[in-house]
Amino acid sequence: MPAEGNIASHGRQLAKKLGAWVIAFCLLVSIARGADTPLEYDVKAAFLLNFTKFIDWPESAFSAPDAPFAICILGPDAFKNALDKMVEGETVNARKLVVRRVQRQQTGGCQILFVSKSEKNFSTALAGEGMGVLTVGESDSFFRDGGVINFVIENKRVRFDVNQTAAKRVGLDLSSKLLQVARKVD
Amino acid sequence: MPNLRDMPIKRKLMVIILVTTTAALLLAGIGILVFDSVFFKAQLQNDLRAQAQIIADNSTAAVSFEDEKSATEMLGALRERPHIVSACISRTDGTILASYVRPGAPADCPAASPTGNDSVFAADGLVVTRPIVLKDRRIGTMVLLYDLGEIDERIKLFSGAVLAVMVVSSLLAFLLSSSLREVIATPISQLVRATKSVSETGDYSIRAQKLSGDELGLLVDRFNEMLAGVQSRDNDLKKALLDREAAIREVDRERQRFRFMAESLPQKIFTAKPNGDVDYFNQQWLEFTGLTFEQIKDWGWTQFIHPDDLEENLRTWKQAIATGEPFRFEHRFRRADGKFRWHLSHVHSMRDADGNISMWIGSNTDIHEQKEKEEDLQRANDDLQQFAYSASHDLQEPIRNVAVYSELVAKRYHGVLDADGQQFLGFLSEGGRRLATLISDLLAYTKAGMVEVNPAPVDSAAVLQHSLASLAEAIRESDAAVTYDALPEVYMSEAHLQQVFQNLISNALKYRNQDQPRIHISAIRNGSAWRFSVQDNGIGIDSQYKERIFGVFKRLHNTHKYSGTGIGLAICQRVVKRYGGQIWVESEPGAGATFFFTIPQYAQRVRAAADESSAG
Repeated sequence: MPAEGNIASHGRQLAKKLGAWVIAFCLLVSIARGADTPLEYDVKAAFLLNFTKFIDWPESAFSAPDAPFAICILGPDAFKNALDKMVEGETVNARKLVVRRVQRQQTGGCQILFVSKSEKNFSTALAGEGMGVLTVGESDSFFRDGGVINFVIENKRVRFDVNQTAAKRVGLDLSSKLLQVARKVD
Repeated sequence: MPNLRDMPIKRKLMVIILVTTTAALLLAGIGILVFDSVFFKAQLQNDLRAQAQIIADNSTAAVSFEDEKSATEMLGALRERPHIVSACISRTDGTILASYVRPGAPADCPAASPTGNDSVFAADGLVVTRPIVLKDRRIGTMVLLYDLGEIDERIKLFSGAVLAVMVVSSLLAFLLSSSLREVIATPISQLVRATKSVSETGDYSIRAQKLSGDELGLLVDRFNEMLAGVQSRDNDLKKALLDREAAIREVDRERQRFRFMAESLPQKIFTAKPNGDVDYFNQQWLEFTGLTFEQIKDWGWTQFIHPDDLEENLRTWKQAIATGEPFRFEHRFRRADGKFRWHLSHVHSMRDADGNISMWIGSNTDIHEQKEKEEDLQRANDDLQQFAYSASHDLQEPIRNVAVYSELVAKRYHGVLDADGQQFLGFLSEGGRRLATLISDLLAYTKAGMVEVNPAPVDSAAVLQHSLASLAEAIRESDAAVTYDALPEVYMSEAHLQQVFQNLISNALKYRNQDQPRIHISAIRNGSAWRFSVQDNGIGIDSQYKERIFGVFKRLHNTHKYSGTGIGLAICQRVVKRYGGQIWVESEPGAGATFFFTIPQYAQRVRAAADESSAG
């Protein structure tokens, strides 16, 4: 009986482990297929949502007490509707989470501003986005433009860098935990 | 292992101390161990839960952002705890984000608890499962497996510590107790030593040393008191023993004195136990019989008694043993050369303070020569007696003729004889009559000397009645009152007893005074003999004549006043002595007289006539 039990338990563990590896493999394969794949943006969408949980936005960042928490996408929407699905029903500090597609100079009311990699040449314009706006980008020059968090692909995985100076400038307090998982903190 | 009960107290104390100490320590150790393992487990659970929670909390970002490296680093901190076998951080869908495996351990993730938040002791250790929660949402699970080696180690460590403490404390207890137990053991050893030396030497003056004031000290005091008691009793006993030895020596000396005396006498001496077993014969016996003491002791002496004497001898001896009366006996002993010699034995009993016979002592004198002379004399006497009897008998006939014819002459020739002739004839007939009486009495006297050898018993009352019948005329004449008590049977010839009665009663009638004669006959037991008495109220006898009256022809009075030949009492004495008895008189002049005579209860060998020949 004990031997049998061990074998059974071992088999169960093996199956579970196998399942875990299958998922991980699929993930890797899909990332490896190219940065444009929808899977990459699924991850990025999830990351965007997760940022709301590690960063505190001051009350002044919102236009009204009942104003929603807005994640704005500037430039071409690579998320398709992944982000919309992600935020459905989600709240941040009791504020409804919404996704908006915006144009330059129309970024008012955004708490997170995702800048697509095609949107370039801001030349520090992002710095002027004002207090309480977390700018998230995905280009090498993003920090030069004054961005706070920049997505990078490393080892076929989505990582991000943090520009703490920029974060301080916009008055956002980034959790140490967030900094810990960042690839690089400037 | 020897029984604890038999161990010396010193070791017993040590064992008790060690066992007690060890038991107490063992119990304390087990208590601590159990207490510790229970509390340690609880503490360990809390501790691990907290640690897992910290990792879970810290790994929220890593899980959120799929940062496997950061998560792995976080788990890597668990390396500091070598008993953590493995730990995993998994996502909500069950996929593993990061894992930690102790080097050498199997690379499995422990199975997370279905509740996702608890700690369970499983077969391979403690499994702690904590949820990873971010903003009230569960984003993953933290699981760790903790082997229980630490608990075992801890138990081992504690056991080792308890053992070490036990060893050290036992050693300490041993060292301490070895000096402490002296306090108890030394006084006991002292006491034991004292008792041992007392029992070995028997010296009761030894005293145990008192070393403490406790119960042991009390015991020593009591022991010493007891010894003192024993000592004084021992001294008393020794003294008593010395006294007893002295008494025994004294008895021994007495016995030696008696032996010396007995051995130095020419007589044969013996002593016997109360039951008649002879336990001593002096040397004279052994020389005479030529036998050893062993042969003749107890009743072995009967072998040298003449067969004709033995039956009588044994009867006399046994009767003496029964009554305790001394006796004398004549019998013949066989000498070493086979010849029998006459001996006279005197046997006396010795009585103790309570009056019981303690021993018999006998002396035996050789009377053989004397006996032979007596027999010669007896023969001569018998001849003489035969002659006297024949003479008296033959004399009766002629004297009767003298009497008859002188009376005939007096009748027929009364007118022929003158006055002188008649007076002479009167003298002649008177003399003849007296001579006839005299001869008749002499005949009776000689008859008294002839007795039967083995007389049959006779009723003395019947004999007395015959006597009184013979004396009826005289009694009637004197108007006498004769009375008598119950009288016994005696072993003697009826004729002899009648002679005695008749003579004594006729004497009493004869020597009366003016009053009516009163005569009383009685008999009482006196030792082994009957003592008869004949009492009268006559004239009595002056004490100076008390012996003389028993002689032949001894008369105190002239024939005119009291008739008689003076031979009656001589006959009585002759008869009584023949039967081994005695005769005597008690009297006061004018106050009557009482004649006594004794007859042995059982027939005695008839005494030799020579015995009283001197009296004749």
